[in-house]
Amino acid sequence: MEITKTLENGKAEVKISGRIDTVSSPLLEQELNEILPQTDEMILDFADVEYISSAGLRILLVLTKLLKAKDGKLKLINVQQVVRDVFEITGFDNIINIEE
Amino acid sequence: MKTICLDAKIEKLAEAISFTDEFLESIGCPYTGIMEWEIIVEELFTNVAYYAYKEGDGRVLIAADNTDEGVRLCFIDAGIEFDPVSKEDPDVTLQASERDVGGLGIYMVKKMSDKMVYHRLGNLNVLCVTKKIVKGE
Repeated sequence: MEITKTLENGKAEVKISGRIDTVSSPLLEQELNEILPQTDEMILDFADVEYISSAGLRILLVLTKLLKAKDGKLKLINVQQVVRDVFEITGFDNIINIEE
Repeated sequence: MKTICLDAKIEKLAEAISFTDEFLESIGCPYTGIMEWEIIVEELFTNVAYYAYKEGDGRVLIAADNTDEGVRLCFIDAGIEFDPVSKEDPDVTLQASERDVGGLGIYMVKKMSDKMVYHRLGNLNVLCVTKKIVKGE
């Protein structure tokens, strides 16, 4: 998994490539935690995310909770259908802003 | 039937998934079906790796078969008794602030499969997951 991120004036854009699974999710968590204190709005670009398991969902849920706690915003963009299916099964499409 | 016996360690997850991929490809499973099976295998394998053996090392046997009801994967371990089928489902209608962080893995397996059956045989946990393959997905 590869992660590239930008942060400017409280707005973070994070592009994730590859699989978000048990093995890679700690890295994603670490990268997001680094920028979270300075972030008011976060956009996660999922164009190249081909797989997500419950380990990845846990990170997204914690991220959602932390951002909401400080009135921040989270949006996912370019989500592939296989990942959308996981979000729908688990109800994450109702708790996270996923751009159509 | 194809089988693989692995150390119940996260480092072996990739092998478990490769084994599954090879079996599914050998029977012509389409891409989306393979992705769902990979999630199923990851969730069940990591459960054994993290929770089955509290002390010391343990192993897990994965058996893959193509049956009349669909592909069936069975996970067999000698860890502490655990029946994931009877585990209560999380409420996926709750808002983020109300949701627990854990508990989604087994739920995802239940939703992505057609059947999930657990047996305790002696000192073994035997968990079998069955899912029909839809060709041309």
